Amino acid sequence: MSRGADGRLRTALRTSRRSGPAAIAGVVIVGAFLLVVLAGDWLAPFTATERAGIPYQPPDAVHLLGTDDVGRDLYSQLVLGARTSLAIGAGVALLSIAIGTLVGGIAGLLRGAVDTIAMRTVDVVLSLPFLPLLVVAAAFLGRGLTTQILLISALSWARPARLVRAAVLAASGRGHVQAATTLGAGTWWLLTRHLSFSVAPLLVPLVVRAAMGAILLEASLSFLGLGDPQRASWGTMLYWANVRAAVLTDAWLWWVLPPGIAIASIVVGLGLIGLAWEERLNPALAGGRGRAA
Amino acid sequence: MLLELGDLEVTYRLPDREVQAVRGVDLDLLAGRTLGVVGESGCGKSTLVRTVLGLLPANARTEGSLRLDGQDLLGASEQVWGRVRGRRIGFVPQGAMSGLNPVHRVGAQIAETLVLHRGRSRSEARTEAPGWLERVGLPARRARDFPHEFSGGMRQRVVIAMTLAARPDLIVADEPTTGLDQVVQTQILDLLAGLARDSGAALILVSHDLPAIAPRCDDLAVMYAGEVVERGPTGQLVAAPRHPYSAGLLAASPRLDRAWAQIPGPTPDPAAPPRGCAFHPRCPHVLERCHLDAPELRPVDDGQVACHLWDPGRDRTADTGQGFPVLPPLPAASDRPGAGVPLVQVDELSVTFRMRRRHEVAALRGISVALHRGEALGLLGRSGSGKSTLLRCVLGLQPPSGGQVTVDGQDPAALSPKALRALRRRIGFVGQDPFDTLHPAWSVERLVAEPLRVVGAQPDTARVGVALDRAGLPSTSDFLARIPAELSGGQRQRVALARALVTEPAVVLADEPTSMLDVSIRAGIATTLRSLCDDGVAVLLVTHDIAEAAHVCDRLAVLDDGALVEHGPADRVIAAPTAVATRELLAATPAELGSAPPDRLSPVSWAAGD
Amino acid sequence: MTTRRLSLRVGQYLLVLLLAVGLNFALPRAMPGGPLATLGGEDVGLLGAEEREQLLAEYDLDRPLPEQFGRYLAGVATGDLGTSFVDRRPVSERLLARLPWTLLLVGSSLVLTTVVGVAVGAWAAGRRERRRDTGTIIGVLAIDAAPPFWIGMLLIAGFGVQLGWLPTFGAVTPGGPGGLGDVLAHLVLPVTTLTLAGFAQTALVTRSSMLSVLGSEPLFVARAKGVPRRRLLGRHALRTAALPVHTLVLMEMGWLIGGAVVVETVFSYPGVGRLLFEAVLARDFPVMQGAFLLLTVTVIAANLLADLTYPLLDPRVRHPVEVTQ
Repeated sequence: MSRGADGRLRTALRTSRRSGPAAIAGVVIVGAFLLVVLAGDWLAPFTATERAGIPYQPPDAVHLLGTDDVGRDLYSQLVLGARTSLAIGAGVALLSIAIGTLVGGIAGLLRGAVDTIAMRTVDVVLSLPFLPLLVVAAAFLGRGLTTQILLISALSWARPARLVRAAVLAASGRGHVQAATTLGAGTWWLLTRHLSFSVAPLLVPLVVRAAMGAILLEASLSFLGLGDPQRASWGTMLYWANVRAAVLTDAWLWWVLPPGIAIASIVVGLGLIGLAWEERLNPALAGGRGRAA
Repeated sequence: MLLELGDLEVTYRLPDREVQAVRGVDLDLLAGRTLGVVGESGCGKSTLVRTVLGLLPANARTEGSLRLDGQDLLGASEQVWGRVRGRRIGFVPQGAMSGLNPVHRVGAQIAETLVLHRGRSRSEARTEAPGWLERVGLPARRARDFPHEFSGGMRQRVVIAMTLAARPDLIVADEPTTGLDQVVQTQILDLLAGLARDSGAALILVSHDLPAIAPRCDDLAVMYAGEVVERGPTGQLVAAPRHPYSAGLLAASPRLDRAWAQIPGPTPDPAAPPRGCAFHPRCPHVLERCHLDAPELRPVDDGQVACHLWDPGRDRTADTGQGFPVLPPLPAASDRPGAGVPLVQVDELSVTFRMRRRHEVAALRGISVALHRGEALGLLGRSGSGKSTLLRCVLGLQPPSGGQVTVDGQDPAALSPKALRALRRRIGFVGQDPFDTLHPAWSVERLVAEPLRVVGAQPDTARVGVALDRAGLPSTSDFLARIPAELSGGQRQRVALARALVTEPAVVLADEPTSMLDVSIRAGIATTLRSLCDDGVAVLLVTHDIAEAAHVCDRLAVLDDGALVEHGPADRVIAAPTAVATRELLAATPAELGSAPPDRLSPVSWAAGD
Repeated sequence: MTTRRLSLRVGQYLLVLLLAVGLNFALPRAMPGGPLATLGGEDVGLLGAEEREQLLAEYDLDRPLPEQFGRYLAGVATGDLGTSFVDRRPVSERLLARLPWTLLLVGSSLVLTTVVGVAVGAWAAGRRERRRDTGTIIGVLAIDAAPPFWIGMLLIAGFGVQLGWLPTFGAVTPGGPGGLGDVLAHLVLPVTTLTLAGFAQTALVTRSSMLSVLGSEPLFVARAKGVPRRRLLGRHALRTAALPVHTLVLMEMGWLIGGAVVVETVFSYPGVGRLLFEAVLARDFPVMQGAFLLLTVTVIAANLLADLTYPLLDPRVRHPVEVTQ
């Protein structure tokens, strides 16, 4: 049996080695997108909205990915689109997990009527078709970035709430929590010293999943023409590509392929991080993503 | 020879090391015979079972031989195993879990065996299956029921029917009754042994509980750290064990008619067994050469033993059972405290649970008991008799429906949360599961200090040290820094005990504190509990084992279906039980095994009383 | 499922419907310019005072809010979803004409995602025993990460335009011979798109469910009993693992409906989703709301179906035991 800090270090090393390559790939991908976000102004030669060239231009030295139907630079849109996706992902992840943790945590802690009401609400929200509802809501309430984050978060908190509640209930049944209860520990003590220990690691995959779902939802919404008109967005690029039937010409190579690859890459990157983390929590049951679209 | 294991070795490959779980086992079994394989956690018995079933995990490597009727099966193809598994070798799993598939009817699961191994058509099998249920004592009509509609003992009967329906030559039963009620345990073991005998099948009973399986076995094999250390006919091995470990294991099962011994030290870590004889660090008869030289299993009279005490040329009359520390005898009745104001007073206590549909269940019906300074009270009863509810009432976690509990003169149910926390300092609690009750990421120091912090006291190192010492643990800085995963089962339970003691309680409640520990170390925990009484602490020991209680407690109280059916001085209750429930508990304790002379282990037997 | 549980579920679905209707009622009334702009169409600004009054009365906007909601609810209950701005036809009429195509697309995709997802998941679980499923999982994750409309556009570019094998537009050839073959040919690419985008979730849940079942006590006993591997994976493991997968189908339905909106848009498939997109382009608010409501009803119907069929899979629900302690 391993002893002391040495043993713990070895356990940690063993774990990281096992889930290594996937986790590293995930961090590298997400890190690369973060760099693109930070260096966006330097990387992008044009703004997302300016008419930088003649329409429907194929790629050349000035326009690396050509231009769209009104002559905007596609490469610049691709670079600046990362900001929209990551902002949506981060904003929704933080907001929806905060709400979800609060609702799920309170329901799991207090139980009884509060729990019943909270979980029935969760069921109701989960029964709504997300994308059609978002479309209608965005059509009425506008399509700004903040509005999108608020709307998507308003629908995305429910599943995390249910999972957090389940985790709190499971943790409450564990021996060390029961033992602390027997000592006379109050709710606050249990929450800060015992329950948080079991529930907190779960929040990482939840945050990751929420970000993944949000990025895909924003893309779908923008693809339906409901993206923020002031910002570059991969979904909006594909919206115009679809409306202008870019797939019927060679333009699909530089107009359709890149934004889709960008969306898939960032989502895969996040997915790998979540996968590695879950593999650590429960080696047998990794994988799976609660999605919302 | 039906089954032969020759120098069998099984090694698991882990990411950073290798663990040899079975280290050179030789065993054989004749058709129709029953062999008991006994050992504690980590001795390799589960690996042995998996090897015989051909179901080792992918990271296991085997060497040696495993022959069934002369055919070597070790490393045989899945195709070969497909004709052996289930058909020639049947399996009965642990009693606590369900070996049955929850989504199929039990009749269909028995029929599956008949189709797979007896060449029955599906309709023939369906007709035949209910008959197999009757053979294991269940009504035939229940073939159409699903597993969740049966109790644990009944499910185990179904599994036995399912296994026997294939008419195997060999049945392997891995802890078949662990987790079942004691009375049910006896029934299941009798059923299994009886059916195996009737069908002419050989049976391997694998268990940690030597007294429970011994009466059903022709031969016994005792395993320690991946090796068979002794092998012999049951009568001989139980009456005159040759290996000190076998003798210690026998003495470590509490019995009414003799002292209760422990084997000192922890059970070995399978990943790093000691050099030389694996048992030498715990052996009271250790010789010089035991440190370096691993003894081989060699024949001695009608058995085999792996121990240097039995080396050729040595005096063979050594009494291997001597030398293990035993629980000190209880003080004579006249020396016991018991007068004065009781620390815990339970008065006409009733608890009623309301189930759905206005159905009411009485968990406790008018219980009155008292617990005084320096005294140990044993609270006995089968599972579901109300023991745990009573504990919860004393802890203030369960409000009574009627009557009253007072601790130190205060009623926990009537106190404010703050006053209740103050009262909790006076009550220590030790639960049964030492593997789950400790926060997995906390150090020993933080774990033991938690009760102080919860009641709002300043955690100080000195008090933690004192508590560890009283619980029989060191307080070196290395030990204080360990986390539960770095402790043995016995150490964890002692940490739980130190947690109970750190607030310097007047009362310690212990809820089956030894039930999940290895047999060989149980008496050690009991000794520590008993020693608390000498410091004036009152101990309430909850257990289902009346022999254990008899070794620790001054007085016994027996609960049955929520009522107090027997209550009195321990020696009186044992000698002259009045309640049926008490007699049942007494009947469930292992009595004479073979022809063991009752007093050969120690001059002090419990029945002597003084 | 007991009657009690079932009635609880039905009550919950009614609540979902009420919420959907309530959102439809509230959204236009929360608009900055007041509800008239979205209810009356774009030329409201050109109307005179008298006509405005008339319009307000037509939409009950001159009444107190609770009464407005009551009348609105009654209207929805009788199938009155308002009038389309575009062609002045009743919204319900336009929706019902599109519904069969959406049901065809989503229904076939649901069957296919389940079949493909369960097969891939079970296969990955079988490989997991030998620790060789990491590649499969990452592949599944990658497909899952691609937005469905993008997959659709690539399929059009590949199979429709470059290879010219399959139609990429609409549900039938306009003015063509029609018939089942034509309908199926038009269905291939949209269904493939939705299935590709949707099977990953089923695969991952099947895999994790299978793995936990494969490691369970009953499965060990079944192996010890000599059940052959194929039968073990199928009748024993998959049968038990199907329970959480079945629950997932419920979730999957809501997701497929969302996917149908974008996929129908890409393929100009004349379903409710495409109508929703057209309504967004035309700022045809009543049609948007109607489509949202109809899709909600579809999801609920699928959920109810799942609730009703679950007991067929799980005997513990079908034969509940009265627990006495």
